[in-house]
Amino acid sequence: MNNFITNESIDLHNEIKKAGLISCGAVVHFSGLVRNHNEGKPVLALEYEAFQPLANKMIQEILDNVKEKFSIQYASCIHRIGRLELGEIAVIVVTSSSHRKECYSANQYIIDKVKHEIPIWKREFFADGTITWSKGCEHEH
Amino acid sequence: MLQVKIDFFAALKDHFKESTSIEFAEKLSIQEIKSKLKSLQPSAIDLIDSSRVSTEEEILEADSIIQKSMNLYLLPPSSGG
Repeated sequence: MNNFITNESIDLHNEIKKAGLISCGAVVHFSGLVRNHNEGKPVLALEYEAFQPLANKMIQEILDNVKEKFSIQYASCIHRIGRLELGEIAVIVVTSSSHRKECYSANQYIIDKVKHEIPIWKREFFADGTITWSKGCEHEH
Repeated sequence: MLQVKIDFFAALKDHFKESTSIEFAEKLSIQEIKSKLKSLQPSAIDLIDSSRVSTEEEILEADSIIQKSMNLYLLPPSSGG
């Protein structure tokens, strides 16, 4: 199984390069970056934790499903864990297909699914010294 | 006697150690497991209610029944991305 969770910095250009298939006229990439504020408070850094065996399996299923659902040729998603500093890439989603419309749609579908469903959690380190786990998304049980 | 070991993640680790074990005689529902955890740590009731339960392979449905000793995982709401 592929490993979609990493402790290492994400190489944006390398990930986009992998999507450059000769049959594809469109490549869309989304990067989620560590920003310097949340809920009106300055943020210094983030830390991500994942339940890796399940997270990898669920991301693989999303990527497999999205190729069929949107008729795209390529889809990938890499998510960082560990401590990330401001401006670092926390997650990247890359899609490629013959045309742009399905490529955009598939890319947004993947990042929405990853944010809402994959067992990954974010802890925020604020400038005022507080450290809190993000509340996250409500799930249906 | 059967035993379920439950591992915790993220904000749940502010309320529990890394893992805890629950013993039971025959079978146990996911809701019963959550109820036992809530009785162990009332400060985490809301968080436990909003958490999903999984194995290493899949998220379990809320009405799933556990009938053998195994390792489960309590997953608070996702906040990746």
